[in-house]
Amino acid sequence: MELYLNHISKVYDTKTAVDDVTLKLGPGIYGLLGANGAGKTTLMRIICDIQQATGGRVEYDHEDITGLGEEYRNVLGYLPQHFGYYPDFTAYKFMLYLASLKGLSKGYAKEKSLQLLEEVGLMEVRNKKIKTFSGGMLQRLGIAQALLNDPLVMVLDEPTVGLDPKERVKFRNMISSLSSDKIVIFSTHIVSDIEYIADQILVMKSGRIMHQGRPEEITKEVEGKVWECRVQGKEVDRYVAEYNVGNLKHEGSDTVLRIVSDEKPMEEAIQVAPTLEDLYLYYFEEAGEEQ
Amino acid sequence: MSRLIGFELEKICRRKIVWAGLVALIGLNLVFYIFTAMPSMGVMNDQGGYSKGAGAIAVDRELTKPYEGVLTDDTVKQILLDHQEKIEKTDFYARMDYAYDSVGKLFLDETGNYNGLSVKELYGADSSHREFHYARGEQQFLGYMPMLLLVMGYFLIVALSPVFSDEYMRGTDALILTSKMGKKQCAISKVTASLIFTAVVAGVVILVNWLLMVLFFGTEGWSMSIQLEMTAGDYSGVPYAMTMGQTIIYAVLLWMTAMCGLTGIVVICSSFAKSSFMALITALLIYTIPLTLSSLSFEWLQRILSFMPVIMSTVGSVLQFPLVELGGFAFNFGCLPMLTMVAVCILSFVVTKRVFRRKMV
Repeated sequence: MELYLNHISKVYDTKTAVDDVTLKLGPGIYGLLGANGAGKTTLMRIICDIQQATGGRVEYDHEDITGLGEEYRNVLGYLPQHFGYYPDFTAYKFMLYLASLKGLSKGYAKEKSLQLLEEVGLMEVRNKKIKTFSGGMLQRLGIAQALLNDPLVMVLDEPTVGLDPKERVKFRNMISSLSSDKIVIFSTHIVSDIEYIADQILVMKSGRIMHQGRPEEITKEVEGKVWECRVQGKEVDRYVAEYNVGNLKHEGSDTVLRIVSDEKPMEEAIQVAPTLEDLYLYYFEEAGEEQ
Repeated sequence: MSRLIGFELEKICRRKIVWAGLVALIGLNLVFYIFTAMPSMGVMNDQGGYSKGAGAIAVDRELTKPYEGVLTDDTVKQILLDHQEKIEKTDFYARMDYAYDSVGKLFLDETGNYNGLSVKELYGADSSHREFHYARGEQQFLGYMPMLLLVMGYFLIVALSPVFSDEYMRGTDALILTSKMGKKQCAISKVTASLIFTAVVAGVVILVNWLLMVLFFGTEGWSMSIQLEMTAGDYSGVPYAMTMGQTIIYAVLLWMTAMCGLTGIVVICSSFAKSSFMALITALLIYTIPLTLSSLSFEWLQRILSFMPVIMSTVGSVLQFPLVELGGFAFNFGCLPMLTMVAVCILSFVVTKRVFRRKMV
């Protein structure tokens, strides 16, 4: 099983949202890491065939997904960034509706819906209207519907938004427990989600895939660029303004800054092992400033 | 797919505005019925006895009996004479004079006297255009139903505009279009559900009112020539032999196909529109503009307008045209708008499926 993104581009008037992305994705969990406006959502929509690429094509098992049509959608599970729902439907009814859209038989749909609602912790509120749900509950419902048809290709756009830490751990465990014969692509700003569950990380910036690799391989990009500095008082503001500060911790009268920088920020700075968060800051702090 | 259709029907029916509209429609039907139909009847017989509602029908029918049959000049003169005698007895006695209301008025001049016209001059030599019978119930039915159907059209537009456009607004289109049946069967289900909704609403309203008519008045008025009907609408110009019963059948078919065709138009608008509001406005314009143009008396325009759902609902405007002759076979012009609306329904499946399938989120 393979998903092949073959020179995918998407251009809107003057803006290039996806810029010549070529990826070969086999079974595994892929974390798509990028700042707002990097092109993650557009790329995911193209993979789901609800956004037309300006150039290139997406192939599933060597067949163009637009030609496969129903056959491809039958193996696809999608959770959009902004999850739409029907306020007056109950959670259970909503699952049954989507199950019927996914072509599940009546009996299996009931069974699967209840099972998934149990797994995401919504069993007790299954007969309550969705409009009464909190953000976290909605997100869990979204995750549940994406799993209805036991998809082989799962595309989850910011799936952990609105989830509290306990729910995020549960989500990570759920994704990790999915059988290894699935292709799971999820996007997030929350670096720890990627660190814990992604087999491979795709770093996306300005529509391009900057890096692809295992977390430990990716972080090598910023090896030698992460520093810990101990500063005092008014100096803190200067360093924060001048450098990319990933963490700031007060220790007595001193403040320990974790700085991501190509050059050594001060004589006494100590080089430390980089993390994925440092990589994110290194690549996306500029994008954040532009926005 | 039946489950999908069920869900789509449920989505239509869950909206509070749909139920509010249904209640308003039923309320309007009651108002029309109570104030213009059988409950509003009050008839006095020549002994001074007064009957109301259903009880008035037998008296009303009895008073009309002397004039039934092929309308002649003598019958007309008798109707006018008897009406004058009724007025002299009491105004109230003359108030519900079916024969006078249906026929007599056409034979009066400005001073209220017989204008000397003959029935052949007015209705033609063909006696099949002059068959007079007691058709009060049919008159009432054809009188208020067009207005009710006109309002029903607006109700359907409000109820069905969000069928597709709501999915775009809510963001549920992303989930639907990435599902196995989302790009084809879903659109078909939506249109099917919309048509079922329309057929049930229109069908029940028409059936209930038709049953009330038949229950209280029977069907003896069905053999009356439609050209003699002046109160329910202007049918005097219908240029071929047609009875009241045939007119009612055509009316029901015109109403049902008009409402179904309107449904097709509304769902097409909904599939294109980015918001339910745009779908609503577009559908409202398509429905209402022909009504505003209908006052222009160009025959070619009237023919074109008769293909529009709102004009089809009026019935009389459609039936006024001569029979259509095709390959030696003549048929009612009204069949053409009906067939067109059926084609619109079929087209709505094709168009909405195509538009929805290609929708980019």
